[in-house]
Amino acid sequence: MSQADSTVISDSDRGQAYTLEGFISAMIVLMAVLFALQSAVITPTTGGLSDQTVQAQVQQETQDALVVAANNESENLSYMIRYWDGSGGFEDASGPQLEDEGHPTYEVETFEEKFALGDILDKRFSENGQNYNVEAHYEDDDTERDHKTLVYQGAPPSDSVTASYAVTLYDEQSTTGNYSSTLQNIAPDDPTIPNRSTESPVYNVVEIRVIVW
Amino acid sequence: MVSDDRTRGQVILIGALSLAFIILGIVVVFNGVLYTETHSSLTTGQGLSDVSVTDQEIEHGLGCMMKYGGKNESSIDQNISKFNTVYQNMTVQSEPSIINISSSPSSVDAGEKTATVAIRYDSLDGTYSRNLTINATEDCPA
Repeated sequence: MSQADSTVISDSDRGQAYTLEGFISAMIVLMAVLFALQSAVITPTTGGLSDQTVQAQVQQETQDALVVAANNESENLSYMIRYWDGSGGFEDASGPQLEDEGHPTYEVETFEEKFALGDILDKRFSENGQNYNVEAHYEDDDTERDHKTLVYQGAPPSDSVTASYAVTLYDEQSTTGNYSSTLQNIAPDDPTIPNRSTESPVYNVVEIRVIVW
Repeated sequence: MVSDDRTRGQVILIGALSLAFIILGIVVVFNGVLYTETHSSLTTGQGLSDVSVTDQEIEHGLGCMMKYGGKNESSIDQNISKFNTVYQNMTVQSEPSIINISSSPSSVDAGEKTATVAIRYDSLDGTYSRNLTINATEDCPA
């Protein structure tokens, strides 16, 4: 009797235990699936970096802006980089002056009015709330690298993109501002960009660098 | 007999727990793969102008140089070599590649004011050479 009773009880116990364990297992698996579906994918862009394809696109646009500006009829990059004031800076520049540079930079509005590059950058980037810096990099007569800043809107963040275009200047070209002289006849103290390559028609090669963020 | 049955019942629980951990593990691995892929394909973004832009820079640079200083074959050849020095020094510090422009007096025609120069790009991605024929540009920015 007691033997038969205990068998019946343990059978029903087992049935209930299976059901309970089955429910608990199903809940655990369901929770795991839910958790997995809800978990965010962490990539480098999650930390605030802008998407790589967007960056590549902005860089291409900046590069294109430089190429278009270089081929402009009148206010091209060569014209822009020869717009000297005769005392080591650029004419009509009235913006902030950087600490290690002895000349003011351009206000964005002035830069936009004067040069083709400014016009393109303004239409594409400034009007969309983006910022840019424009720098001219060159080698001086001691083959040391130096640079002048044309437009400065702040220190670029780490996710900014750059594009550059090399412009060649020649001895026989003239400055384009009110201060007028051929490059080869400029007094040694005056040039904004020094003569790098003496004994050849080339005056210097200047890299115009645009940094956008 | 009874304890055996209970043990077998708990296998379901343990199985479910393992399955849950495997699912969570897959999420972590998948995330890692995505992170690595995005991270490794990020470019440096530092002024890497492509080959066509470099060609255009050289074509503009040499075209006007030949207009200003093209007396005879050897002087044009020397001027191309000097341009190469300045251009190479300038670009090597802003691009992850070395660009070399070379010419010889025999590839220069001072009468027609044309020159064929060999341009060689060396970068981490590989080496690429091409010949470019430069004609003297008449409408140089003055």
